[in-house]
Amino acid sequence: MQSVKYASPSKYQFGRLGLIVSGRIVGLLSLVLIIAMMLWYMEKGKRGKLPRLRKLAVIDAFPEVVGRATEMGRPVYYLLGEGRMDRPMDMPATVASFAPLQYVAELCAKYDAKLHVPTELAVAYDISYELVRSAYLKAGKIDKFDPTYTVLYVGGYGQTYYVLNSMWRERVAGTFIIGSLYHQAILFAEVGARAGALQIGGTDTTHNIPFLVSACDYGIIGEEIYALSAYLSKDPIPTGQLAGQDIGKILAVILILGGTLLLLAGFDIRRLLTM
Amino acid sequence: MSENVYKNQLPFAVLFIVGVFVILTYFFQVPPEISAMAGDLTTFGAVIASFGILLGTLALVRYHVVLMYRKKKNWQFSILTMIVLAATLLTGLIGSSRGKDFLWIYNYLNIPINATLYSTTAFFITSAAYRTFKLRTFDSAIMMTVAVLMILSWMTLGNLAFPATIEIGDWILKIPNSAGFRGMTIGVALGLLGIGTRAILGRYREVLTA
Repeated sequence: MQSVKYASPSKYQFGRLGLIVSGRIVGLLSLVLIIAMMLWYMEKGKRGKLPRLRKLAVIDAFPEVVGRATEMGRPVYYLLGEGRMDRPMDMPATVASFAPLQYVAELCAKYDAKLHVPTELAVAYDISYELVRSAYLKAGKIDKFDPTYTVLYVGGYGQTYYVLNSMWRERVAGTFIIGSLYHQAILFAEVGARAGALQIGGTDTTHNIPFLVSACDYGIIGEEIYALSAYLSKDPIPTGQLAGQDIGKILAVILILGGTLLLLAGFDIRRLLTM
Repeated sequence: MSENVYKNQLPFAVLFIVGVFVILTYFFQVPPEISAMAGDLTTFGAVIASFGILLGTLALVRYHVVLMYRKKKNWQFSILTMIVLAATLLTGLIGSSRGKDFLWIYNYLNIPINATLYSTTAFFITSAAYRTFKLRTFDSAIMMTVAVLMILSWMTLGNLAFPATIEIGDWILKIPNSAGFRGMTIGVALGLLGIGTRAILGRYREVLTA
């Protein structure tokens, strides 16, 4: 039997608790605390005690965008950006944008608005196709779902060229630009604005948020993209997640303020935080 | 096996086991072999996503075949797409993806097309800035003032005309910009944690279920 070789202590420093990797104890404690709070709020929500959510103006704008498109007889575009699901930093935003996609598809089916979801990557295409199709089925309007248009797979960079051209040609009436977006954020938002579309844009890629906020009528800033599911569904699970996240924020604020004060008072707490 | 088991329960069970395993190997001391296994599992994500390429190619072919069959508007372009798709596929299959012909397609067609798209971004940014930077509200006035200061700070001509903008620009980048950026990063990280927790615990069923 092959013996298992452990890393040498000099290469792999042991933390104070022995079992935990050095420098990650505070991270682990914070993770456990935040997850515990999320689960507690989820369970509380299930018993009917939902935490109160601050009003997010963008939520009321969803039906407004779709309604405007119906009145104008022009399409609504839902753009996931690259829609990547193979990179850890992009996948959560792509997954988070599926909940609003489902909601938009339900609205489009209800109000008879023409929906177009061009996707760049195949996995996102597959999930989007099923979500949109089921929304049309649920509304009893599957005849309005066009398999060659409603959710379209256009691979690679061709998708960006296609979207820019198509948005302009069809004079898009409303756009939802939600997901993990990079340089496409400004391209899509700017063409949509020039075409006269009412736009909602949001991403978690921090350096692209200013572009969407500038060019869109309603912005979803950073983490709000992860909160959309709770706002749209009023379900105890995503609402509990949101309340748990808030505990994490309070913890972060306490650590920042407390740490600053202690450092100013001459206590070096950096070793404590990195143990 | 019922449909619910292999479409929902089994994937969530795999997700839970892999998720918890990767988190534990990050925080706890484990033998290097186990740590390497966790690394391999995260790589599997990209491998599994690659299977999507086949699915995507099939979806693309189906779409263009339907367009050609029904002779929809601009269906002739679908023939061109199919020819290009087949030519690229065959070049890669016959001469490998590192072959001379395939690399020629990549270097002289794919890269210039991508570079063209990237380079147009500058014009879109300028156009968006022109439309956005209007003194309509107090907020937009702050945004415009900061933008002008930053432009002057980064431009050679701006530095020459107003040397003080260099320090002002540096201060804006290091202090208010960093503070806002870090606040947003903390919020996004907590959001990622929330989505991850729900997915691992099988509580993201409104989307990730069949």
